[in-house]
Amino acid sequence: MAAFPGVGNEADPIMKFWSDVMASMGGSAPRGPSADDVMRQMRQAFFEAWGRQCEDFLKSEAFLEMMKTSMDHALTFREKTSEFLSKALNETQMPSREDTDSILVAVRTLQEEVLHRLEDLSKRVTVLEQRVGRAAGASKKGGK
Amino acid sequence: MTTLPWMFTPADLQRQWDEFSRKLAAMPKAMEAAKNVRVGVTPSETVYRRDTLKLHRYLSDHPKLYDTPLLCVFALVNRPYILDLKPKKSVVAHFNDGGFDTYKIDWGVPSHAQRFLNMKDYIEGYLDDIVDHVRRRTGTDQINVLGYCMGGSMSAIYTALHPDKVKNLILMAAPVDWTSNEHLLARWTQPDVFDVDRLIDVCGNCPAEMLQGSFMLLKPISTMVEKYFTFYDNMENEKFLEDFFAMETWLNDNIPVAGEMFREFVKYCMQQNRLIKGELTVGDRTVDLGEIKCPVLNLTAEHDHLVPCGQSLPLEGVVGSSDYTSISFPAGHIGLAVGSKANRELWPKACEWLAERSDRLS
Repeated sequence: MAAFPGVGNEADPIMKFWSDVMASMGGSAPRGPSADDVMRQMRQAFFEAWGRQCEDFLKSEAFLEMMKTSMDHALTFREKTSEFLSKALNETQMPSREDTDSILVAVRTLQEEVLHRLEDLSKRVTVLEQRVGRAAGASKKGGK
Repeated sequence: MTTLPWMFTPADLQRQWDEFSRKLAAMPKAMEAAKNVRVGVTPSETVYRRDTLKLHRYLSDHPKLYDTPLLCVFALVNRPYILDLKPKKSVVAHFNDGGFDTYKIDWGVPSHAQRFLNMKDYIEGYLDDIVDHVRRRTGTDQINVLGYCMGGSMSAIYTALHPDKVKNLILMAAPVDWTSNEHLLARWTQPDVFDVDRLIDVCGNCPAEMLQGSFMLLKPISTMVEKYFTFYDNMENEKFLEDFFAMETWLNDNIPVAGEMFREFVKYCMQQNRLIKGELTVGDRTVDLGEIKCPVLNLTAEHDHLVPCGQSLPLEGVVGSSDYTSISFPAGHIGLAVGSKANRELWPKACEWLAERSDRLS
């Protein structure tokens, strides 16, 4: 059973966490010359179990839903703020980001159009060069 | 009196107190180390600029031995100096000192006006221009390319589109197949969870803070808790402090990604997995990884939490090269570049691999 399928089994993750810690500690029985080493080993086991627990949570549907909702809210807030600022700037006859965006889009479209035409011209020039080269070669042969 | 192993004796408590006092005394040294962080240590010159992009050429006292230059392509999400973080922790230094004329792309920070830059602009525009510039500058028809992370995917795409310009391709933790959605990043970027269109429509570029937050959340305990305990344990060690602050500088130096490029990469590569299926288009060209016919060295990190081996190794099945080598190294995503073991064992091997396949200067 997943540790974080949703609501209603809040005890499960805690149980799983402590059994993970205990399992890590049991796997390598506390040893070392001093209590410091033992504490370090315990700390390590605690972090490992905590890390695993966090990863389970971060993969859970509950977290994904929470992430989606909070991102949605943050983007809505930003959208509304931008709208408000744009309106305020327009009312005061000041250029807003929307205005600069529309100029950017126009420049970019123009740039793409010019590049496209240049590419096309470049291809045609190459073809013409090849034809001229062939014709020059043929006339040299004919002259001989 | 019997004492259990985790019970502190008065002597233990005294030792703890002494240690704490020593750490406190080491604090000014730690602050000094934080202030004097030096990253990107190999001397270099900027040989090409376009918009925010810079191309660096590394200088070396060692003689150049090989005709074919090497171009390092890093991801768009972080600064590229991770490839040259510190002395003895530098991927570029291995190649530079090994006799290769080494170049590295610094994509720079995209401004709000650059959010329309897409995959075509980066790969067929910037990257192709740089490759042509290096070819012209060095008088060679082909160059070697090394791509790291997202830069590796971009390098693979570029090589597939321009196989005639790449002599050898080295990929480091480069994702090409996003079939599996078992790991965290893949779960978070699923289309029903992550609406990349809305993010880019609202924000323009993908914000650096969002990227940094996501990367930290991938390993929350080690990045937000455990790291500081390790710091406390080692704060009297000068070498540790230097490494720690160099890494921290890089980790906190995320940059935004140009909006359209991010949208296309997430949508077409991560969500729809078009690259490995041969369905990805860049401009009006379809990317066929089978067109990669040059020798390929695919380096993966066994403990990579960002790009698991399963995202890189399927390249072998689709690449058209008959000279394909893959090395899975016991390191993490960053450790592959800056780990002591990787710098001791992996990079000399990679350098040798490239040397065997490059033309020596006559």
